[in-house]
Amino acid sequence: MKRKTRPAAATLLAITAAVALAACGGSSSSSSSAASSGSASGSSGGKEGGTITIASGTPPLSADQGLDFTTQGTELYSVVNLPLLTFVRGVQGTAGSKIEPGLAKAMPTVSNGGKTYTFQLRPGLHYSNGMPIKASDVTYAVERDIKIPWQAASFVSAYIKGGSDYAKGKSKTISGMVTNDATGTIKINLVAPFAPIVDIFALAGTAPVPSNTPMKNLAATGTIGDGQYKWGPITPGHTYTLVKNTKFDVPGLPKGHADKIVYNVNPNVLANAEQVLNNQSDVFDAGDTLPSSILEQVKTQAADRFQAIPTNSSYYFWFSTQKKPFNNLDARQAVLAALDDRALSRLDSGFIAEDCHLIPTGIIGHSSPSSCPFHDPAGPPNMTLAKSLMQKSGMTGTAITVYGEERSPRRQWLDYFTGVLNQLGFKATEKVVNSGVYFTTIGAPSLKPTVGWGDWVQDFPNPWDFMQLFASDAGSSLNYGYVSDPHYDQTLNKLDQQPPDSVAGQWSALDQYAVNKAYYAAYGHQEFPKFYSNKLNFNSGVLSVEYQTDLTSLQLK
Amino acid sequence: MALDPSLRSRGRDAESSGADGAGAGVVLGEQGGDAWSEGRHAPAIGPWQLAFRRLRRNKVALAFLSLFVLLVVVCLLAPVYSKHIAHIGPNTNNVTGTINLNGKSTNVVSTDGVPIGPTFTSHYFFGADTNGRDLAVRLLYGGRTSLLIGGVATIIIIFFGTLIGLLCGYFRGIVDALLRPLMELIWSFPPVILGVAVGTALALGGIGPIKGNSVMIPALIIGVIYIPYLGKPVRGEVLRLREQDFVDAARLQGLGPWRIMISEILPNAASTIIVFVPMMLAITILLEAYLSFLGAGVQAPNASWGTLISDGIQYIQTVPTYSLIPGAMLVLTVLSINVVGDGVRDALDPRAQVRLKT
Repeated sequence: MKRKTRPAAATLLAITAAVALAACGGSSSSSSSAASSGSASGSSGGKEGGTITIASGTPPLSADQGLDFTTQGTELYSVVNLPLLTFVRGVQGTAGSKIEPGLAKAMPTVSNGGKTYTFQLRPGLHYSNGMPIKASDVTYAVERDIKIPWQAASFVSAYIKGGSDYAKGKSKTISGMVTNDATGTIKINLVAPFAPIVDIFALAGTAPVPSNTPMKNLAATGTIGDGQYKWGPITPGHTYTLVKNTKFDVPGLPKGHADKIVYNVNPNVLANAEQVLNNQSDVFDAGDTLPSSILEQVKTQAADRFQAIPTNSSYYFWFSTQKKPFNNLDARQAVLAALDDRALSRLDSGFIAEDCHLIPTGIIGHSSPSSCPFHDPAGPPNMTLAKSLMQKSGMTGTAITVYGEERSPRRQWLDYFTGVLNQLGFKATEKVVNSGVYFTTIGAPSLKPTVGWGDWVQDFPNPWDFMQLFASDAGSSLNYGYVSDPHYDQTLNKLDQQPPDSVAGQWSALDQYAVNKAYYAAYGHQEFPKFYSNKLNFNSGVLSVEYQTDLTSLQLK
Repeated sequence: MALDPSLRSRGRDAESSGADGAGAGVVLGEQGGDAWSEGRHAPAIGPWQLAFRRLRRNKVALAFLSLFVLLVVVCLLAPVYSKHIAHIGPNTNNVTGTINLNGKSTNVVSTDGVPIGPTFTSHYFFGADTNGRDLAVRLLYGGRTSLLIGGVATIIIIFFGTLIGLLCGYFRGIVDALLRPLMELIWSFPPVILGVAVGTALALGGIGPIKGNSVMIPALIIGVIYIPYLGKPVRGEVLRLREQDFVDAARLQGLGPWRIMISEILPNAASTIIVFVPMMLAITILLEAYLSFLGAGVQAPNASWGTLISDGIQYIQTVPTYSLIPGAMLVLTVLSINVVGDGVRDALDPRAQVRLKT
């Protein structure tokens, strides 16, 4: 059962107000000084140009798309680095997951039994600095992903022929990527048929970069890109500036409205929300949770510029299946039985729709929460079952360290989860890690943590995107608990060769299998806040399932 | 040679009168009070008894001492309150729990995540936090943590500050040349910045056998940071005392340096050290609150007044008591220690009192 939706009356009021405001359009007198630099009104009743500020609680790990794979980073560099394919922009909801050609002329042709994908570059493409884009730059970008390495490097190294040899240093290039700069052809040969490769070449991490781009993390400058915006001044961890790329002209793709977008990081999410409420910042970053202390105020004072949008995301706790006590199935299952998903939702201001499955509602293969084996996620936990499983496991009294992130509500989730573990009889202590380095900390191969918190937001609309997190070859930067189950791996490798809708039931069964095995204690899927200042055209702004805030859609009134 | 402290002190006073003149005269005047002008002899009591007598006369200091004792006792009774009155532990989450208020079942935390405010009943007297934990229980346990950290840090400061001050002041030379720059180095860093830097680093990995989330980590950090704040004045005092005649006399009697430091210099520097004790206790409690507020002190889920203020900040508009009550407890504690500290200083430093009287 999903969390209750907002009252229909409030929604109606919001729509009415938004329509009325949109009608006022460019004549609004509330435009900021930044807004005043904008040019004439756009077609949707907003202005072109001006500066838009985003208030975020967490910085991306890096401005370099060759390293970073965070939601915060994707939001920013997805408008800087346009790949061969791209997810459709300007569309809210699951329709925003549709893939369309980006730098490529058309969708790739598939041959060789699904093992070869051929792309053709559009003619006359240039980077923001004026350099022409070559087909071989795509290979260089992928090689750079493997070398730096990209947080999702396994997406390419494991599936493209020659990728793993290149990663191990056995070859100087990726043999499976064959390009022709003269014709603009890019041929990608795979180890085996792998349907999500189309989605992967729609990720900014695979966008071409000039071949003179250093093979190192460019956190303070980002890379030269080919998208709607280019990097302006960056103060890593604090401020990221995007400036409109006036050279961008790819037919069919939006160019963006604002001249400049400034992404300011302040870990105080409440202060960020207050700034947007008071129109001192324009966008509350969708990746942050609106604190419950201000939620009511936002709902009443800014009903026309706030909306909770369902996204394809999953929140979970993971277990190290290699180490005591969670190498014991009963111990893991006891935790799942004892976890109160309702409590975790409340700690997130009620934005979590409770579920024990990893594949979220909007993705093929999603299972109904009613099939959760240990208790109904919308109801109380089954403590009787939990305690009996715990007793059976013989793991009572085992000391464990629980890893979690600092920012709200993640620290509150950690407090709660640690409390549950102690209630079950473990001797659990918390380890709170700074949000900026949390995932790199728990993913460090030297650490091998026992248990902790994790989340995943859709990269592309394929259940593989979620289920690969627990594949044995996913690496420690994704599979934090080092889950290694031959049946799971074999099923995953079989399913990823098929179009997802043709094997939806099998994806669902794999998720259910992992829940029964308690490889993860998933507790739900989150709604993200779309919350703007009154200087922005709320209707034109899009909260995308792919990019979170679609920066090309942001427009001043 | 071991002397009765009071005898030794009296001897010191007599010697001091020769050394700096005014010292003994003022002490005697204080001893005698009106008796001095009447030409009667001063009663034969020691300086500690005199100091205690002066402290007893300071009603304000006594009132605040009572307040401090009350706060300590209340915090020490936290487990009793938790077990027998609130019936919930300090770290027990109760996010989906309900309580009966005026015959009506009420969520401890609403479905939108807003915690209940003060009920002024045995359950959730000061309300709940976002995890449904009883704030009153956490306030008392937090007080224990804050006082414990302050106390341990003060003991570290007194022990090591005195030791380093004694060594530097007495031996001078190479010992002073080695230890003094170390103290200057720590002294040169703003305490909060140094505390945040070290606290953040140690919170992750701990130090030696002490785990990162132990309350002993902030106690250790704060203690080390403030060692120079006592070490430097003690060093100055020892440098002065080591030149006194009674130290020369001890040397002539063949006493070794350690014996002289412990039995001759330390008792005479004791008043300086004692005056610093309440001051150090107050600033260590405050620094703990700063560090915990900034996330570099007490680690979750443990509570201290600093973490409670930090947790409550986001609710300052809707549930102000969430952070104001731990803030008030902190202010009252530090204020009471400071006033008592002033009283102790006045009692041990009769010249200050004379100045007050004139």
